[in-house]
Amino acid sequence: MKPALLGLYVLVAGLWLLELASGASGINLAAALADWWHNTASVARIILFEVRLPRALLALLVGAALASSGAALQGLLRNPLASPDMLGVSQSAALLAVCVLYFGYSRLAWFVLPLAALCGAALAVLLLLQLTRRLASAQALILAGIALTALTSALTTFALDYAPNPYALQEVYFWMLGSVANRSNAEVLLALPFFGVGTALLLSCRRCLDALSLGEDTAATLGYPLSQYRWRLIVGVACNVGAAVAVSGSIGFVGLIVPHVLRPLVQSQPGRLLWWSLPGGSVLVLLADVLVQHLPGTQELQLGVLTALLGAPFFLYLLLKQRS
Amino acid sequence: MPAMNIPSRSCLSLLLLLTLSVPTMAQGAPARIVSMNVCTDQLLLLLVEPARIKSLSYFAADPAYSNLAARAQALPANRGQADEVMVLQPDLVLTSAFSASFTASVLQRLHQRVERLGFASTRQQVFAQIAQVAAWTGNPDQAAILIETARARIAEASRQLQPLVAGKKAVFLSSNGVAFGTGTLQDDFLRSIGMRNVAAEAGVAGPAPLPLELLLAAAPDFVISEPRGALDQQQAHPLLQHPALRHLHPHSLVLPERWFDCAGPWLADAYASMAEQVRVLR
Repeated sequence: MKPALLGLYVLVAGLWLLELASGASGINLAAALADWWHNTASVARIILFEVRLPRALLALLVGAALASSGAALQGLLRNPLASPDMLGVSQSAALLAVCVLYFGYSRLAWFVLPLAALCGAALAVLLLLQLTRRLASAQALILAGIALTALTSALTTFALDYAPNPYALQEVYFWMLGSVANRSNAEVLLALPFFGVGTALLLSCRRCLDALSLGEDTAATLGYPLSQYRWRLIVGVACNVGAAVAVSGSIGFVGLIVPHVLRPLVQSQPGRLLWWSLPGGSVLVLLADVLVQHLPGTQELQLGVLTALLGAPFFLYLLLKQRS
Repeated sequence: MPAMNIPSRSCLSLLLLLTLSVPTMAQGAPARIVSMNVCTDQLLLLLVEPARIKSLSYFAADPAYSNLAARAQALPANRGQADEVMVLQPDLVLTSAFSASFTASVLQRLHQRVERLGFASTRQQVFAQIAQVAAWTGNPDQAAILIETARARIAEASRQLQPLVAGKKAVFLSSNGVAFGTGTLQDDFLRSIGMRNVAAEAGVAGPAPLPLELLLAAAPDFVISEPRGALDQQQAHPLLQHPALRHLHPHSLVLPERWFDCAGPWLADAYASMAEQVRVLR
């Protein structure tokens, strides 16, 4: 393993511990662990294992899922500006999640909510793939993604406005900006199988993505059945983004920045980038969530506000660099 | 809204009938009144005979926000737009200091009489607001009866409640993890019966989110929230459903937020309902 990749994993571990140590109440972590060891009930133990642990796990998993999806989309569409939230994939997932949630269908079965979000993400990726074939340029695809983002965000607000629930509209913030606050272990268990399947599917395509970076024809001559790999990537991205959105709303910019920061470190090989994006995404989301909890102010910011604060200026820088 | 056992409802309606059947309109009182806010809507319905009310906000007929939804149904509704208010040629427009502020300033520029009701965060302010609206509409006698009755009912319920709940910890939880801290009517309510408001003690000012960790650390004896139906379908309402709360087993009480959102005699319903629910617990 390269020292830089190792360093990334060390950073993930450090930030994860820092996330566990962060929170509104000043509980004693050592005491909480001791209570757990001796199996005595205490508030510190409940807070550590049922409030902070699921939050830290979700930040870790959601970051990895979003960043790897971003890397996969950039490889699949061969467009460095592609990412789940730039192209409306996350927002489509949020739209379907909101529809099943607020009109009562999510209570039919435990998998309905993540499955709906997954379908939303898959539909968006399919639509974008169709568009790449018909649109002339990479810029046109990004514009189409912006249109899809605007459309699905508007439809989400529309759905929330008409939901039979007087508080639904307040929750636009959650679905548009994302958060891992106040989640429970139930949400971790809900998302985990989808993250597992999604990440495995994406990683199984890494050699094909390397070949694809040389062009579709070259990849085909190298013996990669492209349509099969394309499906694996679509389902993989849909699983990861769908599960992430179902439990944490649509957290922006992670899928865009992380692959971009890491790309020079992997000599622009999309396959290796996929591996590196997993810990990279965890680092960004954990860092943002630690910051969210330590920033002064009466109310905690939504996680997406911080990833956008970090991400938007970087995105502008990216555009300027491409120009020159 | 699920059916709730509110024994005081019938008393209140009887009182309303009595007050409304005795027109005590002062000379020169406004005859064409329009309200653009659900709080002034409800006070108008209580104080003023329907013939003088030309329009209420569309929230007035919504039982989720209004305590007098059924009575508002018969009156025309407005959405707080300047043009729909102007065509009614009102001689008094009522609104709150926080809603429809653009419309209110437009109407004032057009030389309409606009009166704004503030935010009531104590019992005294609730009574003062009832009296204030009555002063604007010229119905001070009705207001005096309402206030006296509400005061008496609150005093009676408080007397019953205090020995049962004094010193106990409680928290009002709303949607999206919002709790009611200092400077809210809910805080005044809890302190008036000798209870400790966990949200205020945790540093929450006004209605603001209470972090789950602080809620757990405070270990409240009572969690007070809206009737279940209104909260069931929410993703971002994790506090009431979070599995960690199971370890605390606080008593759950139900008090609709519309009793606290707007000044009115329904504050006495909140005291009476609380007394009833706490009595059943014991």
